[in-house]
Amino acid sequence: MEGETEIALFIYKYYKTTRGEFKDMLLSLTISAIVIGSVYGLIALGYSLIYSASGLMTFCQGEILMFGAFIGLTFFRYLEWPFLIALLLTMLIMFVLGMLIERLLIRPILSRHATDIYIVLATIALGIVITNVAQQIWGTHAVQFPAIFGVDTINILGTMVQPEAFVCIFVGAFAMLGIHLFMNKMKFGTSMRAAAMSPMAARSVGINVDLTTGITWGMSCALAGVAGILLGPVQGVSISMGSTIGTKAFAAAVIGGYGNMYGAIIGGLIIGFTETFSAAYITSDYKDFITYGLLALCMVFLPRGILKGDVYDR
Amino acid sequence: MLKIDRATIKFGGLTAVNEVSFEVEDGAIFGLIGPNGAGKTTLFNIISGVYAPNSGSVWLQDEEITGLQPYQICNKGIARTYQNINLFQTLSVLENVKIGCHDKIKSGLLANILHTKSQRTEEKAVYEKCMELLKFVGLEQKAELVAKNLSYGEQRRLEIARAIATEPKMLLLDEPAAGMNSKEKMDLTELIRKINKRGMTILLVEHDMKLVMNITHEISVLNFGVKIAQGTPEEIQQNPDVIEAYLGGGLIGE
Amino acid sequence: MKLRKIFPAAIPVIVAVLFLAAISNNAYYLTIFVFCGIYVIAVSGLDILFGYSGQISLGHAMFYASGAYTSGILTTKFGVNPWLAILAGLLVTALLSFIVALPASRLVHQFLALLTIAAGNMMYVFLSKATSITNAMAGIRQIPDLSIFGYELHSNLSFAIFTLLAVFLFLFIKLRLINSSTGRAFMAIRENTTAAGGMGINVRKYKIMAFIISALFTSFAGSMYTHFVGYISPETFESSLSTMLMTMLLFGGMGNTAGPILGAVVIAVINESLQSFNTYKTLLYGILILVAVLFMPRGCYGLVTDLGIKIKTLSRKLVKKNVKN
Repeated sequence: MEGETEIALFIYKYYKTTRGEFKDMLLSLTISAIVIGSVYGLIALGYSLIYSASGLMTFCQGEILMFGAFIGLTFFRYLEWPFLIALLLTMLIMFVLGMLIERLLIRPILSRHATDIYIVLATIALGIVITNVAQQIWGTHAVQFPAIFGVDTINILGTMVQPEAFVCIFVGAFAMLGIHLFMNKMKFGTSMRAAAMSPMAARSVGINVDLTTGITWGMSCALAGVAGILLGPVQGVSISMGSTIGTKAFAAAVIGGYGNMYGAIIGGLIIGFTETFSAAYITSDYKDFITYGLLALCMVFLPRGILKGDVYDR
Repeated sequence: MLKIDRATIKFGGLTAVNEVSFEVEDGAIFGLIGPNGAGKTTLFNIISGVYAPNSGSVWLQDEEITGLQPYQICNKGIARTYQNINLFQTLSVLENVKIGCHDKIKSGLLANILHTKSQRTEEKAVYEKCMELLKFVGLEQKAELVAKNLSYGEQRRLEIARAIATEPKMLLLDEPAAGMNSKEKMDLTELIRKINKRGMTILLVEHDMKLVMNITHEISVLNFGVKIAQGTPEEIQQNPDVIEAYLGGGLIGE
Repeated sequence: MKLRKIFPAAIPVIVAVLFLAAISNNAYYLTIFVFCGIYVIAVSGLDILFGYSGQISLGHAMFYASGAYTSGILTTKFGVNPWLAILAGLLVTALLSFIVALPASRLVHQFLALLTIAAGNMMYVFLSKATSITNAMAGIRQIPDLSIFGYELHSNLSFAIFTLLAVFLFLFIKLRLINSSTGRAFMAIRENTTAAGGMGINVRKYKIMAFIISALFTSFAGSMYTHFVGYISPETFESSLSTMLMTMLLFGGMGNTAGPILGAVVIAVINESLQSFNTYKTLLYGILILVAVLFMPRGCYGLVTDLGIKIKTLSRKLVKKNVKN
């Protein structure tokens, strides 16, 4: 997350030297925190989705995000297709990838051991493999994702903000609302939750559990892909972009309340704010230390997160 | 021996156990019966510390044990078996029983690593005690087998041996006869009597009425979380409330 | 009787000693030998945690680091005797692992994995940023050699002999531990937490105990590394080290003595031969974990024992047939 904080700090320094106005720095930091928080929230949504639909956890969302960002980059920059098409196509590809992961990796393991710890290990391993594949295809260098919009910056109360930042925020909020409605109001969402609660009972009432689980994995991968594309213009695309984001978004999901859609976004924002503001006001060296520390504290004192969630054995 | 005083526990809006009180005499075999969902296993879980009651208390020999952790309650002298067998599946039969001895073993971590003389004599004593217990429940031939490879009835007997290994004053048996054939049930009845003769007070949850009526000294009947009757087996069999509860619940005593 | 008991344990000892003698004049092989030994100790420690008590850790690099850095800092900055520094490293690690285990002992698998990853990352940030204590990315140089009775373990051969002794010591401790009431309590928790509590085992206490013991093994390995290489810097203790230790454990097979040895040695050797293809190293871990998880849940050791059983039953069948005929 270096890039993001650096942008904020740059704006901060700029204002300090030219105007010395404190308020504007606060504003730019806040916007920056919301942007990165929305990205964390988007990925956290993916975690929560998989959890509430299958009771499982994945540890490779960060790598999936990176992969999605590169695919989007390929379509948008190298093939020069329109942004919307690049975005939709990336989502589609990531969706298929997610379903494949579920079918070829998750399901065989579940049918063999039925212990979730192997899923953790397998998804970590998959993350490593994805990173290496991406490295073979796109190389190790960070690539600039071209600006999506014609305008460079938008002026808000005197602070210059990239338009892509607003897309991040908007998409984050939209995805949260959409998924929440989908899970609670639509028949397919309800059957997904039923499949998570009791696969056997769900099967007996005619729900295709395999399909619903597969689709959930697809959806959460598509979400991570979107997050990757959104993050691209803000901080560039590189194969290492996903590793810390994945863990931090996981932390966001835990802090918000694992399995809760609103909790995911709230947790994302909390992490975004903690990170941005501690980097600006306390120390940028220990930014990650503070973020992970917050997670550890949350696990000790607020085990169920801000909005419900199950962390403990009993 | 054991006293339950107005124990109540709620899950969400449902009161699973409601103001239940009873007392188990020293050396008794006490039966706890009732239709499915009457709250028997929940009450077991309260006694053994899996759940803490919302109100009310549990006493063991005039010492309050309400809300203690399961391991503390076990170490106070209450051991239990589980309705849905909870063995240490991939460990051997002998190891399962040895784990039951855990709290009685004095050797600490350092003695274990240093393999001191007292540790070795203690381990030997534990081995002999466990073999004796396996013989007691009739599993001495299977000591080296992996627990999950035992038959259903054998697994239930192993659970009993493991529970006795903790040297309890009070033994809670949760449907020990479930899934057993009639021959196995007869052996079990004998076994429970034998355990009782070793000086252990027994609290028994069981659906097999023949077995319950045959061996218990006193019975409490639960229905929808409330105690509806208590008395000797003969009294219970003639109690109109009990008959009503079982008829209403669709289950008639066999 | 006693001889028969000792004999199976004696074979690997003899093999290891003979092997060491065979490579004793090749400094390069000796280096690899030492690394294998260090990893065997660290992975055996991880096995106590994951294989025996059923708690996962994806942040074991932090304990390797706490041992390594305590040794490095105390010997270079304060001139402490290396052995005392190793001891201090063990104490620091015990404290650190206790702090981590306190919340960790209450978490279910996936969250435990997350917490340990986070704690490992915190350690890495600390190592790479706390300039005044750890010297940050510059690392710590000129760490003195270990010495026994005034004899410095400077040559690779002397350190290799020391490594062999250390490995035997730690494996011995592990075996003693596992075959005792403490080990049984660990396994009980792994097998069925509910029943373990019901049988009078203080589950949290033993979970924390397993965590600390496991961390101490890894800490000692870290201290050994420090004194062998003589130089430490944060990159060594990145999360990929935790992943590597876990890969060794999974690949070798957990919950026994031979598995971690097998895994540590095989992967350390592969690692070494891939030195020039450094980028493929992590890919290797990824693929090996996937293979282990998908196709050999009990690791190489499981594969070997299964094969042994198959051969036995097959030969028995053949013998029976012959008898019939």
